[in-house]
Amino acid sequence: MKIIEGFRLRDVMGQATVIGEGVDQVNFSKLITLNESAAFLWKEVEGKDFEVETLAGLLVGEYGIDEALAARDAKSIAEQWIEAGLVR
Amino acid sequence: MRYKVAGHVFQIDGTDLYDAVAEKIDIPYRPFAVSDDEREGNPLFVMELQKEALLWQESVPVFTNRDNVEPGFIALSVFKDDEGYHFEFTQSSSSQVNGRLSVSLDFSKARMSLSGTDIEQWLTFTTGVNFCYMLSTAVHQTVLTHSSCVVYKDKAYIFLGKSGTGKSTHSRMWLKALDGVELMNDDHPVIRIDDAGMAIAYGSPWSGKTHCYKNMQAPLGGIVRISRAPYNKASRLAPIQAYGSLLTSCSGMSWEKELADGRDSTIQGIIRTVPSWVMECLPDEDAAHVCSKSVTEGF
Repeated sequence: MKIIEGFRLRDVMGQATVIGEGVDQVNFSKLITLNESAAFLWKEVEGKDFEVETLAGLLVGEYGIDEALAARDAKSIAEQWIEAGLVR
Repeated sequence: MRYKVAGHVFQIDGTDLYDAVAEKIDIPYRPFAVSDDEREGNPLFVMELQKEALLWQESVPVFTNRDNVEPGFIALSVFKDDEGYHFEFTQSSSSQVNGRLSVSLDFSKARMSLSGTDIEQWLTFTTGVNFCYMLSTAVHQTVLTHSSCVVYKDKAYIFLGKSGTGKSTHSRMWLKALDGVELMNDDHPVIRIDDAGMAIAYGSPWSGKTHCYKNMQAPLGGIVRISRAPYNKASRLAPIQAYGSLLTSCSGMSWEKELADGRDSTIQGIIRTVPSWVMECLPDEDAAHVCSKSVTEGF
């Protein structure tokens, strides 16, 4: 999957927030806040193709958590991004 | 002729080429006229009207809302090439072109040609100037907000909301219900952050259907989103909601990163110092009492 072009991660008043700024997001009126690990992953995979396993590997590397937990977190974050229409 | 809006000087040439513009420009723009004197500063952009229709190579728009604009409104298509940005304004009901605007990549030079009826030419012209202003000021801590703005006790309050939610009506309720209220602008006031970090609201030549073109300014005291309800209640917005509320009402070509960055920085600068509210309200005078009490007393 890949982050859809036009979504940009910004620091809004200290909170990592995804904003639809592309031509295709002219009518996307939501702001989506990300927690620290989701924001970390976003920056790592922005503009790249990735899988849930990519995210899990990044979480293990960054936070030193065990692989089963990382896989669960990665799956949950990917599902939230798909649900919110941020990736495809 | 040069004009100064929120401290930003711009120049418009060739207005005498179009009767529709020459006849109408005075009332909204004259309050903002300045001399060509260097002391007023160099113009941020120069727009030149021309008689022959503007043309450009690109045929595929970067953006267009031609297919989903309500009848009676102007539709817009945006093109981009090596020369700059090109805007085509058309009637939503037909593909009839009312104007073409070309703006250089650095937003400092613009050319425009107009067609259609007098009123179509005028509306397209003033929209074109508004666009040039928005583009060239975006990186200068300035935003054009789609709102109605009143001044009360030396502070400006802007009322945001989708078309038809009652921004102008709410301003009128303040004018009726409270003493010492003045309407600053009814459609597109400007907010600019000054060198001291203070958000200041300014009148502009763009005031929608209301003839209210005041060259005035006041420190911004509150940002209020108007929402229709069967009761009157003001609630303070948390920072993220405040950001979203103001962002929704600031126009801009956010797909251009430089412009989006400028807008983001300005909006955060504004909401850092000015409280935002949502006002759930009826179109009555009590709404003005409830809202003014909250925004002036801070709760």
